[in-house]
Amino acid sequence: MRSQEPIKILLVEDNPDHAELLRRLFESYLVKNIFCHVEDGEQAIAYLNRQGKYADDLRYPYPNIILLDLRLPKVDGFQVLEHIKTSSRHRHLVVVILTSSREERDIQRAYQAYANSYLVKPLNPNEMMDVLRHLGLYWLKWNVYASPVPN
Amino acid sequence: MTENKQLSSSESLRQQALARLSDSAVSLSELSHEQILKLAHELQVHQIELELQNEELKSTTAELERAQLLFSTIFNRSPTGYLLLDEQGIVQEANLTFCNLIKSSLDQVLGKPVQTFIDDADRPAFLSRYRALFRQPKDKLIELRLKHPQKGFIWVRLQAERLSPPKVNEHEPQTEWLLLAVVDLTAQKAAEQALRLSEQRYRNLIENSRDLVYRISFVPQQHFEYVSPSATAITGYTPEEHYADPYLGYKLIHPEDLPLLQKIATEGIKPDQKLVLRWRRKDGRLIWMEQQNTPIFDAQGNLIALEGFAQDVTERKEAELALQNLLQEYDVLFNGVQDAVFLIEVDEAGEFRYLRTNLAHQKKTGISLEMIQGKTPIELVGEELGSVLCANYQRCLDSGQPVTYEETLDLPGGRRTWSTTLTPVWREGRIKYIVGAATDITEQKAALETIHLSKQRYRTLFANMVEGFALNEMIWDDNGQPIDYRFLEVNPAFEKLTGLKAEQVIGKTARQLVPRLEAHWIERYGEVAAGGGEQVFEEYTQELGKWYEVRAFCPKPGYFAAVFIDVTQRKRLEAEREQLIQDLQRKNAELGQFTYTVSHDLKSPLITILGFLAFVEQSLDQGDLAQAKADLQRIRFAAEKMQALLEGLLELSRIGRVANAPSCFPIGEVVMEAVQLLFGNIQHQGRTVDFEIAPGLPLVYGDRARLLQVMQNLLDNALKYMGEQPNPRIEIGWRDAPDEIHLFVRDNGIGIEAEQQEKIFGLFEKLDPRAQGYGVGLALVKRIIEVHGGRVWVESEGEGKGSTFWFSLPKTHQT
Repeated sequence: MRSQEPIKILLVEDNPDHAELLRRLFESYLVKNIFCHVEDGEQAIAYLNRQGKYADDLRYPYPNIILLDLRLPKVDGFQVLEHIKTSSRHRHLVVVILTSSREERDIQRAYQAYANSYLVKPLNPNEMMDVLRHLGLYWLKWNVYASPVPN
Repeated sequence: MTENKQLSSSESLRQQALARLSDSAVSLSELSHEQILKLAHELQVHQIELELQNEELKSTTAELERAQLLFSTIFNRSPTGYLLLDEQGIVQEANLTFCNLIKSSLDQVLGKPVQTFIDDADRPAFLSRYRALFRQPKDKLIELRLKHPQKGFIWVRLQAERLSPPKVNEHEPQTEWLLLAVVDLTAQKAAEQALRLSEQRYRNLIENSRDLVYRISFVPQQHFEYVSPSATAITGYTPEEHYADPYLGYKLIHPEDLPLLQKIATEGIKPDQKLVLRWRRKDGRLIWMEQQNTPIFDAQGNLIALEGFAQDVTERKEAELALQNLLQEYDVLFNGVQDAVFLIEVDEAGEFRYLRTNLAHQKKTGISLEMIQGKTPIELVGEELGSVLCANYQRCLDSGQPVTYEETLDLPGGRRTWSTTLTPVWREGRIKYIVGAATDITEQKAALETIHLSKQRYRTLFANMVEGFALNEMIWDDNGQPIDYRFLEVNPAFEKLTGLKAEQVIGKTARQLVPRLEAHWIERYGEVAAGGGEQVFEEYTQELGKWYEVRAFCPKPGYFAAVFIDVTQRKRLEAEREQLIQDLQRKNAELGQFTYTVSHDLKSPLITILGFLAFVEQSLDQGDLAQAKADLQRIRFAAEKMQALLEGLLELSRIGRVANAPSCFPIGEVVMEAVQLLFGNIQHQGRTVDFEIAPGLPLVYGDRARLLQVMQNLLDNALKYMGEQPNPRIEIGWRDAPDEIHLFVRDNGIGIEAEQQEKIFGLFEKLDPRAQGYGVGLALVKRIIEVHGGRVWVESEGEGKGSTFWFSLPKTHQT
């Protein structure tokens, strides 16, 4: 069943340029979506827990899908992933690892920590666009999301 | 013949003749002249004849007289008494012997009836038989008693014979006389009595003898003529049973022994031949009997009887058998023993003579019994060897004690080495014998020699081997737990390796020598000594400050031997190697991390560049120049970042590759320089920073330019992470350390969380992504200090608590 509501995306990425790239992409998608971005793991966790400024549901809606980079300052991606997947409240969230690391150990660790998907950022921008386009198609159009767990 | 009767004298003869003539009827007148002449002639002739006859008669008479005298003498001297009795029993004649026999004189005897002389007891019998005797005296022997004045009576034997004496004249009727030969049986009777007594005695002897005496008669059929009463005691069968069963004798004999008897029977019995057979008694018990049989033959030489006696020789036989067995045992023993045994007799002169040797002796020496028996040692083997042997025997003799010695002898049996023991034996107050027993130890000696050589070799090995060796006895407590061990033996290498001398060590326990010996040594050795199997291990002992590789094994339960080498050096090298490997691995990891980081951090701007280029193209197509410009700026920054990164990398690599000549200089100078350079920055920021620089900063040895870079970066960092506080303060100081100098740069800035403290020296690590710089500075510091042989680290109590960055520089001989 296709959801009529816009898909809420949270991007956790420390590189502002990359974040900007993704923002523009998701904006250009036909499927309605709300794109939010945090720069580090600490912010990501606060966002999910509706802490501080993130208590504002309108500006910072609880996401359906999280795009998570692994290399983050303060609290790294793995910690964020573990936090999400061990929490009864956030476990249901679709977490897509989006990182430039193709290292086996990172991939293993991500999946062991119950990442829903793992995507590697390609160097070639066309490829990158391709990935992101498909990303959009799959995750926005077809994937069905669970409703948020009540607080 | 009575002596009274004599030849008539011529006187009486004439008278007799005249008498007869007168009786005769014939007269002389009637005869013719011729007849008278004839008669006269015949008369003359007759006269001559008569004269002749008379002479003849005279000689005959003389002869007769002589003969009569002779016969009278004989008659009277005959040992046999003679009586001449008539039919009525009157004694007509008797000889002197008879008279002497009854101590009577002849005239007392003659003309008396014979019964006068017969003893009263026998008289009736004689009288009743006399007639029959007279009629038929042949073969009749009468024994009776005659009266004797002194003895009462004497026994005589009468043998009668009819005599018809010549008639005196023809007119007489023929008288029949009985000639009685009277033999004095006194002696005979006495002899008979003695014999009877003797027989009785012998009978008693036999009857009472414990031996079995018997006589088997074969005529008419085999039967027991006599079996002594002892048969009952010996065989269990009474003599009567023997008489009843003629073959009982055979039945008694053990079936296995019968053949022996049969052999005798066929070969013929030899008198005095003793036969020893087994008999089975009536009660079933087996006994040994020794028989001696004497065959009795009749006049024709036929065997008619067997006389014998038999003794119960069971005891003797058993003793014999026992002796035989004993002898056999002794023989077996003597000759079965492997040692050479010999018996020497010491004669009174002190000479030694060989009496006997056993089989082993004969075999081993090659000298037979015949060769050795009775000889002295010198006679046997010659002067040289013999005197040596004698000397040994003499030693035994002199000491009176057993002596043992070894000797090597060349004998017919070969050259062998012996361990000989001589034992003196006393008899009759002196040492009469010497018993020698010699064990052939040739092989043993050879083996011992081999062992000795072997030992020698091992001794040499022991003394010269490079590895330390210790033989120890384990000591256990009451619960069977190992608590200590005692040194029994150590080799020179042990001394060298441990620095402990053998004299110090042997007999002492480990805990005595090394009181703080680690327990693991004792536990391990305990396991080995208890039979837990060989252990090879490496262990460190703090007391001696050494590492040993030990091989411990158990030669005997409760003991262990340890062979060990000092591997301290090796351990050190190993540790170094480990360190090197770890370093390399670390460096490798770092490199890997580095590569990863580099590639990632370089990729990142590239993604930005390429990504935004696409958007720029899009913007140009759409005519959105503003957006395009903004995006191009992003692209530029990204490219610059890449450039900076690459330069940083280059710098880092240069530090390793290009080195300036190191020198000795006071670090204080470098600090001042760095602070000066920093002032520009501080002023630029418009801030005031407190600087505190410790006095007496030491001399250091290193690359001045690089160390300046270190100070600069550290100060830069401190400045960067000052935070928003009002009184920023930077402190620079140092402390002394063994072999190193430690220097620090302390700030009271934002501090670093524990988790981040490790990361910050990493390349491109930035705690605050927004901060200036590319995260190269600290990495550079780390690199430079490490090249100097030092280390970097940071101390911080956490966020807001400031940080202290430390680095160390090794001391050299100059500093």
